[in-house]
Amino acid sequence: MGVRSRLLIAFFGISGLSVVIAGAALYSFGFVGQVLDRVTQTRVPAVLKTIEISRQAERIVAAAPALLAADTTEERSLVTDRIAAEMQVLNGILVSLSEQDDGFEAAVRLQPVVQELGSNLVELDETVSFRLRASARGQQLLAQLSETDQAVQAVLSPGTMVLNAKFARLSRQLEDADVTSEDHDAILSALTELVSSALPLQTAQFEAGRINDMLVFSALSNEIDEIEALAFPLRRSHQNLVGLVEQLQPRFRDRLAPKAEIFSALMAGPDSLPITRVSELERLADGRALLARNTVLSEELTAIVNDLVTQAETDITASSAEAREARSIGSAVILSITALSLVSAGMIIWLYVNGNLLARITALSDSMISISGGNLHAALPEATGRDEIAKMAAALRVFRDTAIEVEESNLREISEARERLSAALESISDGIVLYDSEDRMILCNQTYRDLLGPGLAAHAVPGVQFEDFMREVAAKDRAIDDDIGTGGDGEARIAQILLNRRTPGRELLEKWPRGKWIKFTETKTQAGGTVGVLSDVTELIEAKEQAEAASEAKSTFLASMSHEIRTPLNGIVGMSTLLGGTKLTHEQRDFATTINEAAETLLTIINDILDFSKVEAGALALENVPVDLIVTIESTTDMLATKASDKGIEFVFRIGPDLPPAIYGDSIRLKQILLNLLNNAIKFTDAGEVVLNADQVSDGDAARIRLEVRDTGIGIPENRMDRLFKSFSQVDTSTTRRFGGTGLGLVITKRLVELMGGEISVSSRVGKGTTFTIDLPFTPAERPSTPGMDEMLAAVRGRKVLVVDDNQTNLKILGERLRGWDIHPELCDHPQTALEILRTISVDVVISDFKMPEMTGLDMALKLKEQSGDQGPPVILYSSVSLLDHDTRAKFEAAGLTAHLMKPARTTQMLAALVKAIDPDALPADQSAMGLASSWAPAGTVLDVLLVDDNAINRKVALKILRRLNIDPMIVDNAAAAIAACEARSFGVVFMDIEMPEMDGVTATAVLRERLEPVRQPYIVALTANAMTQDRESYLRSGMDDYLSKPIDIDALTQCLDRASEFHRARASAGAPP
Amino acid sequence: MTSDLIDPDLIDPDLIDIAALAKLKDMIGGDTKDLAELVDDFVAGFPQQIELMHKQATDQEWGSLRITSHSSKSNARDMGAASLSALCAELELQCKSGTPVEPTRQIFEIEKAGLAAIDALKDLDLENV
Repeated sequence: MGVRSRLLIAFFGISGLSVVIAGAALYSFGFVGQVLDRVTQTRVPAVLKTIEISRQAERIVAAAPALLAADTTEERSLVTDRIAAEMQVLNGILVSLSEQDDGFEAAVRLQPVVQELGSNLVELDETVSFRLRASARGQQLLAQLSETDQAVQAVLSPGTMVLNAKFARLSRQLEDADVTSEDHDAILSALTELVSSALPLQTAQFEAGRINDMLVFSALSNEIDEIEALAFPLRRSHQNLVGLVEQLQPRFRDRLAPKAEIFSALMAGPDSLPITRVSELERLADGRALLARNTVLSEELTAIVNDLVTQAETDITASSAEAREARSIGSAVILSITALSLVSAGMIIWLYVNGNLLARITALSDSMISISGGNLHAALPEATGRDEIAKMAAALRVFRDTAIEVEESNLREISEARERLSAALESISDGIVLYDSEDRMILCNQTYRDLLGPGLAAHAVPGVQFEDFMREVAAKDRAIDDDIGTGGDGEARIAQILLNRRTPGRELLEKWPRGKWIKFTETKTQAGGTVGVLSDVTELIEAKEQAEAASEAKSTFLASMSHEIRTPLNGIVGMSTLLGGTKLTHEQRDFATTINEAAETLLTIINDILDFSKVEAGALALENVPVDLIVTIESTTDMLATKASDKGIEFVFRIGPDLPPAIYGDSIRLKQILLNLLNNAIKFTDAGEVVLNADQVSDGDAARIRLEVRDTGIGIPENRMDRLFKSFSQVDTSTTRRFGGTGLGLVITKRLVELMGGEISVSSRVGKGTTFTIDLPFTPAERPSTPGMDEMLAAVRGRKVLVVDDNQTNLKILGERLRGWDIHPELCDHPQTALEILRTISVDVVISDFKMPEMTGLDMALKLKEQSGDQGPPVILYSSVSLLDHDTRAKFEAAGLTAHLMKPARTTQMLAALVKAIDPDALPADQSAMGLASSWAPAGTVLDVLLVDDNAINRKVALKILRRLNIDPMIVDNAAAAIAACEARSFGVVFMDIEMPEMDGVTATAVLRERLEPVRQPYIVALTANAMTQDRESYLRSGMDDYLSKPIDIDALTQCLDRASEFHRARASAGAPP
Repeated sequence: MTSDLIDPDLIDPDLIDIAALAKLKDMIGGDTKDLAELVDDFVAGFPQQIELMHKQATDQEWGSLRITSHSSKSNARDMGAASLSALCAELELQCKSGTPVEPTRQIFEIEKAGLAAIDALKDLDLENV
């Protein structure tokens, strides 16, 4: 029989005993439960019901006196209803009690008492009803009595009053002294006669009053005896009254006789006052008797209930005793069987599990532990029997035999591997040391020992603890430090080493005694050990220090040299520019141009080198001031618009809706970054577009500004990408030859971006284009408000604008910009389609690209004018080309264009152009302050004046003076804007400031002279505070027509304007159009 | 005009050349309000000019410094601030010739002269100029 079968038998045996225990426990609980049920479900509820009956009866008995005390029928009805309801409840409880187990007997005892109580209450109600009727009748009779008494008094009182008056008069006459004896007798005789006639009247009045008083008393008395005692006096008084009435004069007799009859009826008989009152008092006495009986019945009920409660208590006590007995018996049975179970289980465990199973398993386990501990030759228990343990013993024997074979094989392999590892370690040039998981050294190679030196190498033996070994190292170091006088804190050093040990994977570089630089790397093994690698990097460190010193020296030298070179180069650029403005032969102009271009290129290179060396030398400090991002971006794109236009490529920028308007940073360096990237993009793009996209992006928690410069240029090969951000490196040498440049621009850009805490990345496809992406962290700043902006935005809000451009990027960006101003844009990529759209829908303004396939924007505007006449919407030309020749200019005016904007237009320029088209009155008064002046070009006259000055005060002074002369000039604040304005429209006079940043007036004049046709050339007046004669001459030589010194003299200004008019008159008379 | 304003005749001609200021007033039409507006612009803009000069000197951007000092010289002449105008002209000339000798000291002197001129202009009775 197997172990499982034996254990199953034991299990069923113990389980059987447990079932018996459970049965006994269940029986015991069941019996106790029954007893409790009997008490709680039958006895107790019955007792509670009887108590409830007793209380209800008490309530009814307590309410009954109120019935007897009722004074009115209504009061009686209320109390009767209440008692009837209580009686109904009482009867209900009694019925409920009779229906309960153990309740019927109690109900039988209580029922007669309750029934009598009910009868009594009915009787009481009837008694009260009768009493109330008697009381009411008594009240009626009293009223009749009062009425009769008043009638009697009304008959008698006047007579007695007359008689009394006569008696008083006769009495006074009798007492008079002057009365004669005859008169005295006569008076006495009259008095006697008066008394005899008055006596019956007065006596009758007295008797009637007496009868009334006695009847009232009998009606109010509460004693029946008192009422009965009045019967005789009443009868006598009534007889006297009847007798007296008979004696009275007929006039009294006839009226009093019926009243006497009424008195008689009220005195005696079944409906008399005394009898009625007696009946009422008798009913009251009956009621009180019934109430007393009710009280007795209530007490009887209480007695019965008390008896029932006592019986119930006796029964419950008996039941509890019964339950305790049942529990005692059950507990004894359970304990007995449990003891039997424990003994049986103990015997099974002792006799079988311990004696047989455990002994064999323990022997087997000991053998396994010995084998797993490496003792493969430990004794194994005999595999006797056929149970599972015997089979395990047999399996263990097979396993042990196999393990012995494997161990022998492994030992051979380990030995070979150790030899190979040792050879490998010894061949490594670095020092290698291996510690086990308990930080005991396992092995180290010879290089390690060599690096430690002969003193310490002796301690580097397998088995040594890391900490002990480090103490040896520290002791050695201290000795050396002492020798060389550097001192050293050994304990601190050990503490540091042990701390480092807890964070493995770190690379430590230490300078060891005697000037050695050691790099120490620790790595944890999977088994918890540590591999340490020591490398002698002394030579590398020395080389690095030398290289850094050389690099710093180089940077300092470059910074110094670049500055020294830049100063004379500025001179070459300036002078060659001036030279270009003088009268030269073709060959001389060619030389001058070459010199200028070469110097410009060299200046760019030097500037790059200077910036680069500043960055390399760590001398570049960034500003952290509020930067208007939109102004920075727009001014940067302004600078490159002409360059892009010259190459005939689309140049657009997009300001994302989430871009913060202003941030803290360095606007000059930010502009430098954008200039570098955009310059490159334009430089390496021959066709297509260059797009600057500025927006805010969120990357996890932090928001960043993303500046993206995308072009459709030549692209960068994949294998050249790694060179992009390296010094003096372009994509390949042919790039340098073809496009020029130092290859430093992107390096500087990258360093600047990194200095700003940002990142730069690039993606590119050869022949498709390149995208540079810059992500910059930022702190928002407050953007200064632009005066007039709110009014302009209000003027265009909700308007509809049709945008026509064949370039999808332009359409998308312009559409987004217009939506940002709450304008509804309609986007169309073909001019013919646009004309068709305009036939069906109405728009407020049309913004059209100039250069489009099949039809230019200008031609489209002309067709629109043909199509819609003067009813057509105003048109703004938005072009990337600035050249408007005479013919185009004529078309421009014929088409009635509202404005001409150069791509990419500044935000304010675009907005102002739209406002001018929609609501010119909403334009701000000082447009130049907003940089708007160059944004539109109303058709002007020959002597339209353009004022160019970067100085705000100078602009204001000049404006005030010109306005005195009734001249309202167009005003711009920089040379580039002046050029754009002159290209867009013709000016009679341009007052050009000389000293301006970015581009001075001389250079701007040179550009205008070169770009504008002779017929469109303005009269250019140098306007400067440089008052020296040679200055004046140099300006005239550079192509300017006149000169005006600051502060402006109004006479000189007037003369200057006269000369300008003369100039134009002369040109017109020579045949050129005005 | 209140009695707190300074009579133009009492102003040091080196500080403010009243004749130059009067000429400016005449040029723009003789309106005191217009003149006051220009004076206010000058007072408001001067600190930024000085700040810009310091920055350009720190960055050794002599070309930009030349333009800024030129611009300041022009404004100072308009306002009749003779000493200020002379100091700006000197800095401009040095920048034009190459590297200024002591740009920082010069800018401080310009600032000092400018502030003195501003003090005088702020309290000046422009009605009687």
